[in-house]
Amino acid sequence: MHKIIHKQVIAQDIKKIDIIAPAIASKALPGQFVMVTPTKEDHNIPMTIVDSDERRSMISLIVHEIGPASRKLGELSIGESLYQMVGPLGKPAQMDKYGVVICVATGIGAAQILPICRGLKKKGNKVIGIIGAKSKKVLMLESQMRVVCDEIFITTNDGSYERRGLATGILRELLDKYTVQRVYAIGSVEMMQAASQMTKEKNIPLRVTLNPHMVNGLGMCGSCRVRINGQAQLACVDGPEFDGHMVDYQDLSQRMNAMESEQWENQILPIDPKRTGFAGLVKSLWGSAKK
Amino acid sequence: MGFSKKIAQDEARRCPQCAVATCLPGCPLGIDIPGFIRLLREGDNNLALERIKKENPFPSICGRICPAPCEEACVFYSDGHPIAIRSLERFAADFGAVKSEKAAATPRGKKVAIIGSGPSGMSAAYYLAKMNFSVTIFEAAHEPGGLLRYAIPEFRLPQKVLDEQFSLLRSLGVEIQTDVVLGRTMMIDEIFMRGYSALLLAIGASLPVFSDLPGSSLAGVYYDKEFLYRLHAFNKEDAQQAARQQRIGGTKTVVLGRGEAAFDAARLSLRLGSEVHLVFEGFEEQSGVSDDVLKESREEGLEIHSMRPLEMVGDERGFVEGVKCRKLDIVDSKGGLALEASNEEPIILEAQTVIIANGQRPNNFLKQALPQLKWDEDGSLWANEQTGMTSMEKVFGAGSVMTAGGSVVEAIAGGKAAAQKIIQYLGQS
Repeated sequence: MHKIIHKQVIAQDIKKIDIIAPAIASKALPGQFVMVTPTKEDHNIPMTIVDSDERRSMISLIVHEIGPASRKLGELSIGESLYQMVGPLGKPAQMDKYGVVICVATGIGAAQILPICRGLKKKGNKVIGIIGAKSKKVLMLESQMRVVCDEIFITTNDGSYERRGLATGILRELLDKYTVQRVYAIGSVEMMQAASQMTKEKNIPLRVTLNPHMVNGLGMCGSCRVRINGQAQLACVDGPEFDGHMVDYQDLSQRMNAMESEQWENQILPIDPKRTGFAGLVKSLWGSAKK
Repeated sequence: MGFSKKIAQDEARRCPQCAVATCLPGCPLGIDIPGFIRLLREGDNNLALERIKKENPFPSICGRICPAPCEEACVFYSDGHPIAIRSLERFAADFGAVKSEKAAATPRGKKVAIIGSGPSGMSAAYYLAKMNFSVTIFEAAHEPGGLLRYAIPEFRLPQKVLDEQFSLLRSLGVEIQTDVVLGRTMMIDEIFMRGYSALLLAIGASLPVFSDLPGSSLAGVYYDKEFLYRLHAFNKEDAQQAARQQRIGGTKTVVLGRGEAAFDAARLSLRLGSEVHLVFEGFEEQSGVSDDVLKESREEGLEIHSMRPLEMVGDERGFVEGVKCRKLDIVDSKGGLALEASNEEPIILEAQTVIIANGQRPNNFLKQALPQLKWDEDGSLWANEQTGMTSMEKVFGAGSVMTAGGSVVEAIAGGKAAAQKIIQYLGQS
């Protein structure tokens, strides 16, 4: 079950893998995700379903190798199977024929926006894509986005490719230029917050996909809690897509920050097994006596 | 702790075998408590276990983690030394043996699907399989057991014991399919299309009730199930290592809340070597756990305070530093003693980890998967009292989803009752 049949490096530390999963492929809709456990020793991680092909009964995931589990997933080779995968989870993205739609994504968000763009295009919308990346090295899915979107704009923070600047800069220009019916934004909290402000001014509906830290993915633990319109909701069950004007971005950045690995480097006070209990006490005393 | 043979027999001899047993109505499952204790006293563990198993399919689970409402109903409870019924049940389950269980001889050819493999789903599956229905359990997680597996720490309920119960169910012909999420991986129409005659929703109440205390979004603040799940999911063998990898750290922990889950989380933190304070507003009797648990927790070093938590204090990086609490005064009021917030300055309990145990409610995904279901005002699933059927034809409910929370023994009793309702329904149709 869940055999990897294809694997491709698409940017620095980013791989695309295709997995056989008939049950998931037949149900997956844009905006949904799966919980993946690469090997028995790992914990499970959420992964957006970037593409699903019912005919070939496979789904595609884009793996950003940042944590131990995602690194393990990236290391699995073609022919190997995943220990566990459950899905599709989360509500599918809202989709209809609106007219002109802007889809803006930064960083790994490009992987999440691609299926939404594809879905919107299928519904008959004019889709304008904006991708923001730190530099050309980490820019991904450019060709796929070019195929799906009617128009595409790319920015890099360091100017190593196409335009230099931020994705929100282009969004502002486009909002001034066109009459836009709807905006979809996925990426950093700052970007989504900026997009929320811009669209609020012009009274354009905004959908954002949030990526708080998920542990269980089935609505059991409450780790991915976000505040929507003043109420706590779970990204895994009630989301991950929400009304961008309702999201409490300050709370979101606090929640995202809470699980940032660099943050914990200085914070963590690892509980030292040597220091606990009587046996630990004896051991530590013995250790100091030896010195 | 498990009893030795000698202690168990001595304890069983202490039971006065009341003519009108007060413990009987205390048990939601209706186990013949004086009966099995009498058999234990006579040294017949096998018969005692058989007697328990008549009403309770999983005595080795209940013998470990049941909150034991029967002990509170015991005549000796007021003296402070009720008969240790739960421990005796565990003794019977651990040392007794029953003949291998078999399903009824005539196959009925009717299929029942159960959503969720927690205690209520397990018990419904057991009774349905015994009546020779072909039962399939669909479980969303990778391993069956629900909260028994993911939220009860190993020191209270070893995974091995749980696995034994599932091999019993499998031997009765119950099929268990994991990684299946109702309404996502599989729709309800598909279930009926596959030929199931009835569907039982035993999804439990797994969603935490969120706290509105300021600062609950700080780093280091977890809900009880999240804390327990993180430590379970990551590394079953070595909780210390799991805590490090899951970034659960700190030398001081504050648990806010009461009930089994709060104490489980607190005792697990103690085992990680942390100093743990448990804070809730109320008297000790309102802690929501049995006296045994209270006593054991104290022995393990848990400090219990009756205070009103006001807010969680964080540092500039967004990490929790402590919990601000207001002390309570005991005052004399109309109905006896009561607690009232004191006028003293609030104190701050230092903590690097805060665990909130605020109770549970049914998961939202069911509302999304089956929007036509009717719900009660308290967030529990509505069902017809007589037929046990929910507002949807052929769909039944059992366990915590019906009651919006509750103990393991209540869930097992709920599953049993639902199984009987389903048998009744399928017998008619």
